[in-house]
Amino acid sequence: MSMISLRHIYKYYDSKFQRTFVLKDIDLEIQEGEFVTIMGPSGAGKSTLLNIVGMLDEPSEGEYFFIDQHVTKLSEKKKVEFHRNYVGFIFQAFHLIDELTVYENIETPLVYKGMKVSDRKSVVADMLDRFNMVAKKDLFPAQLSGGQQQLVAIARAIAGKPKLLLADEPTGNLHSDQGKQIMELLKNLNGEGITIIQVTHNEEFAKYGSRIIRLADGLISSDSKTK
Amino acid sequence: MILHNLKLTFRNLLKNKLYTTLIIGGFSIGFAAFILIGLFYFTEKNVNSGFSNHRQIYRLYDVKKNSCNINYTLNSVLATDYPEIKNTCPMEYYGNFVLTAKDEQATTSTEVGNIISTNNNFFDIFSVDIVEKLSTMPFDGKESLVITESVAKRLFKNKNAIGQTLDIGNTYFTKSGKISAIIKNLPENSSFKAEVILNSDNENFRMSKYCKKDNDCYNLTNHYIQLNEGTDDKNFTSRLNSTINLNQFEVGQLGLQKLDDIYLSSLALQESHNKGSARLLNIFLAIAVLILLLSSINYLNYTVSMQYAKLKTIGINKTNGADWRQLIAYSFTEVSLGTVISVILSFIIAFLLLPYSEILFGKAIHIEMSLISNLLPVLGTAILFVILLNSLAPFYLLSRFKVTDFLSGIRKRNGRQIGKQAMLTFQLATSIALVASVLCVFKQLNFVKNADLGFDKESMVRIDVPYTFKKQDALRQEINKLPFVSKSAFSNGCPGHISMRMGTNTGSNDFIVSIITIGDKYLETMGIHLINGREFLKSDVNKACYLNEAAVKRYGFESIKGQRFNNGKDGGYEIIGVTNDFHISSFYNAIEPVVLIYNPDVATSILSVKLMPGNIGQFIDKIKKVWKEFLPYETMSFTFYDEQFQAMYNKDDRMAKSITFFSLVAIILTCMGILAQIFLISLYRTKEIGIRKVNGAKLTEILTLLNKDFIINVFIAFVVATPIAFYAMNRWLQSFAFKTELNWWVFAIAGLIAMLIVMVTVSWQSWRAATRNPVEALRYE
Repeated sequence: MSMISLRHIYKYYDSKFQRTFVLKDIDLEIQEGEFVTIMGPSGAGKSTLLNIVGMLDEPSEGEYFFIDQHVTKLSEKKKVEFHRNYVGFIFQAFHLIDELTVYENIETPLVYKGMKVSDRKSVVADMLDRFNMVAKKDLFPAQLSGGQQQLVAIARAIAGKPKLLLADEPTGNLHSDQGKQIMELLKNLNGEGITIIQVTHNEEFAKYGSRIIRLADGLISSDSKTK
Repeated sequence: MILHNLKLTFRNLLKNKLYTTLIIGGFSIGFAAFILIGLFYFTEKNVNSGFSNHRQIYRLYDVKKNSCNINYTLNSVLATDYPEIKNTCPMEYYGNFVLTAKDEQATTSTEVGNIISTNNNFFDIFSVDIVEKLSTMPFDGKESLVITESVAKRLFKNKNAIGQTLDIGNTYFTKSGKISAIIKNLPENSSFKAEVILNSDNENFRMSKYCKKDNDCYNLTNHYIQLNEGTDDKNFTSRLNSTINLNQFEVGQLGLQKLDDIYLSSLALQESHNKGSARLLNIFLAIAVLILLLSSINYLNYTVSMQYAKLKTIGINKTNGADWRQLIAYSFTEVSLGTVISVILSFIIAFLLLPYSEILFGKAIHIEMSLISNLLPVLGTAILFVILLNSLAPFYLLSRFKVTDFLSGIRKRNGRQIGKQAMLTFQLATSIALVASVLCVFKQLNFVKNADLGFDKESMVRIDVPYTFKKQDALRQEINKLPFVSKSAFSNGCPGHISMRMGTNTGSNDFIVSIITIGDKYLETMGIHLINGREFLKSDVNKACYLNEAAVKRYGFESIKGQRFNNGKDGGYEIIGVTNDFHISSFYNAIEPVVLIYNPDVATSILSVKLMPGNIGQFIDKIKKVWKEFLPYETMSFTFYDEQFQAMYNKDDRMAKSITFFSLVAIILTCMGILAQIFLISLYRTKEIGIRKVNGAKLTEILTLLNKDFIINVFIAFVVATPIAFYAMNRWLQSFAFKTELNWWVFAIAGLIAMLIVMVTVSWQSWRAATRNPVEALRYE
C-alpha cells in the first residue's frame, strides 16, 4: 500500500472565457520512505502539486488517498488534524515568524497540536541539540544567516514527528555550501524513515532524491529512479 | 496557547512603537473622555438618589401658576386626610443670601449658605442620619433648630453643641434658636442643600409671606410628600385634585413632581433648587458618543491594517497546523490586548483628570458606589462593542484568506478602500462641525456680553442698601461729592434684578409687567433716554410713571396721552413718558415691558452709581469709606452692571469651555487617525513611490499624489458637516431672543482649520516618504 496515491488529479482556475489548467490528470504513487524530487520549469505546477499533497490546497478534480484516507472527502477539521500530525513544511523563504525566537518558532506547531508545556520543552530541547543550535535558541530570525534560518525551519517542520516532509525549493535562497548542508540533512532525515518530497531547480540537489519526477505544463513528463 | 498569543501580540505592538503609541494613546484619550462624560452624566442623573426613599418622594406644585410655593396650611390637610401619603413635610429654603450663625459662648461665627425650615417629618422622609439629639424627635420645641456635623465642627470645634443657643442673622433679620439635634451632612449630590434646619412649626421661622389686598396673609412653602409604596401617583393626583378645596389654598391645580425629576426638569417653578440642564446633558452625551466613535474608528483602522500586515504570520501558522479557531483566537487576543491596555490607561487618565471635573463640567464629580454601578455596565458595553467591532476585521479577513495565495506570494490589497475613506471623512466632518459649533457659541457669547443693553452698563456700580437704612438722601449726597462719581440714583429693582412683577389685569390682553420704582435722576444716571413725555415733578411722587416702548406696544397705545397704569395701588399712575427699550434679563428673553414708577420714598434698596474712567478699585474703596460712616456694621455688597449681566451666561460659558475641551480631544483623535493612515499609506506605497521616482517623478508630484486624497476628504467632510453644524447651531441660537447671525465665514474658518491640520499632519509623513532614496525603497520585495 502506498503512502500517497493521486488519481486523475486536475487543478484549474476558471476565468471569464477560459479555463486555465495548472495540473492535468496527474496519477502518482509514492511509497513510505521515498525521497522524491519534483522538477520542472516555472509554472509547471510543482508547488501546486506539493500544496495538494500537503493538504493546503484542494484539487479541482480527482482523488487523493493519504495512508488509506480519502483526503478529498475529509472534513476541514479532519484535514487540519491530518496535516498537523503527518505533514511538515519547509519553504524557500523559510517563513519563520519574525517576532518569535528560535525556540518559540520551533515550538509553534507543538502549541497548535495542543502538546503539554513539559513535553514541548523536551521536544524543542531535542531539536536544538540535534541541530547544534542550543546557543542560538533565544535569537530572533533576523539575527541568523539564511542557512541557519532554514535549519530552524526544518527543526520546526520535524518537531511534530511528521511522516511526510514537504520542501518547496528549500535551497533556493541559500549559498551552494549551505544548500549542500541542508540537502545532507534532508537525506539523513530520509534515512531515519521520513518520506520527503522536494521541489527544486537544482539538478545537483535533485540527485539527493531516490526518484525524480519532471513536470511540464501540468503533466508528468518523466518519472525515473536515480542511479 | 494563550501565552503564546500574548507573547506574539506584545512583540508586535513593540515593533511599531510610533504607530502603537498613536493608536493606543489615542484610544486611551478618547475613552478617558468617554469615562469622564459618563461620570458627569450619571452624577447629573443621580441627583437626589442619595435619599433612600427617593422613589416615593414627590413635591407638590401648582400646575396653573407654575409654582411650587403653596400655602403652608395645606400641609396639615395632606398629613391628616390622605392615607396614601405616608409622610409629608413643608420645606422653605433661604439660600439667596448668606447667613451668619453666631454662638454667643464660643463667640465664633461661620457663614452658612443654606438654611431650610421644615418640621420633624423631614428627617423621616429624607432618611436623615441623626448623630445626637436632645429628646425623641430632632426638633424639641418651637424654638429649636438642627445643624449638620460640619457646621457644629466649624462653630464649636470639639465642644458639645447640643443645647447651645444660636443666633442667625443678616442685614434683613435675626433669629435665634436652641440646637436640639446634630445630623450627618445631607447627600452632596442633591437638588437642595441644608446646613441649618429651622422648625417651621414656629411662625417666626417661616419667611415668605403672601398678602392679599385686605391684609389677609399666609405663608408659602414647598410641600414634600412620601407616598406609600405601590401608590399610583397619577391616580393619587387626580383624587387629590377632586377632593381637596383648591380655592381654600389659592391653588389652581395640583401636580406631583418626582424628587428624582426636580433637578433636570424643564418646569420653571420659581424655586430655589439647584437645577441642571437636560439639554446640556444631551449635548454631552452626543459628544461622548462621537468621541467614542472617533477613537473606535482609529482603532478599527489600526486593526484592519495590522491584520493585512499579519497575513504572513497567519499563513505560516496555518502551514504549521493551526486551525481556524486557533487563528481567530490569535487575532482576538491581539485586538483585545490593545483595547485592554488602552482602557487601563484611560482609567488612569480619567482618574487623574477627576479633580479638574469642576473646571470641565462646572460641577465636581465625586466617585460613589451608585455612580460606579451605573457606569460600569455602560463602559462594559462600550468596551465589548469596540472589541467586537475590531474582531470583525480579522473574521472577515480570515474567512477570505487563502493559504495558497500567501504561499505563491500574492499580496492582495483592495485598491480604493472606501470604508477607510468614509471613516476618515466622518472624523473630519465631526471635527469641522465641532469647530464650527465652538466658533458659533463663542460668537454668540461675545455678542450677548458686549451688546448694547439699552442702558449705560460701563463703570456702573449697583450697591445694595439694607431696607432698615433710612438716610438714603444723605448717603447719596456724600457719594455724589466724590470726585470720580458722575451721577447716582436710587431705585427698587433694577435691570438684572427685578423685585416686583405684576399682571396688568387688562382682560384678554393680560400680560406681566416688571416694575422698577425709581428715585430722582434715575434715567440720567442709567443712561436711559426719555423718548417723549416730560420729566418727573415733585408733585408726581407716587402718582406718575414711565413706560418703556415695549410696554406701550404691548398695551397697544397709539399715544400715551391720558393713559394710566391701573395697577399697584388704587387709582393707578398717570403715564407721562416713554423710555427706550432696555434689557432687564438675559438675552434668552425678549425685551420685557417695564413700568418705571416715580416714588423716591420707596426707591431705597438699590443705589446705582456711575463712575468716571480711572482706577475702579480705588474708587470702590473710597465709596466703602463713605458707606462705613453711615453703616459701620454692614459690609457693602455691590456688583457692576456689566458683570451682573455677564454672570447670567455662566452656564453658557461653562458649556462653551467644556465643548471646546472635548472638541480639542476630537480634533486630536482625528489627527492621530490621519497620522496613522498616512503612515500606513506611505508604507504600502513605498514601492510605488520608488518606481515613480526612478521614472523621474518630482518631489512635488509625489507630495501631491500622497496628499490629494486627504484634501478631497476635507472637502467632502466640509460639505457634510456644514449643514449639520448649521442646523444644530440654529437650534441652539433659537433659545436666545437676541442672537448673532450665523455667518458663512464661521463655517469657512472651521473648514480651513481642518484643512490646515490635515495638511500639517499629512505633509510631515509624506515628505519623509517622498524624500527617501528610491533604490532603498525598491530593494525590499
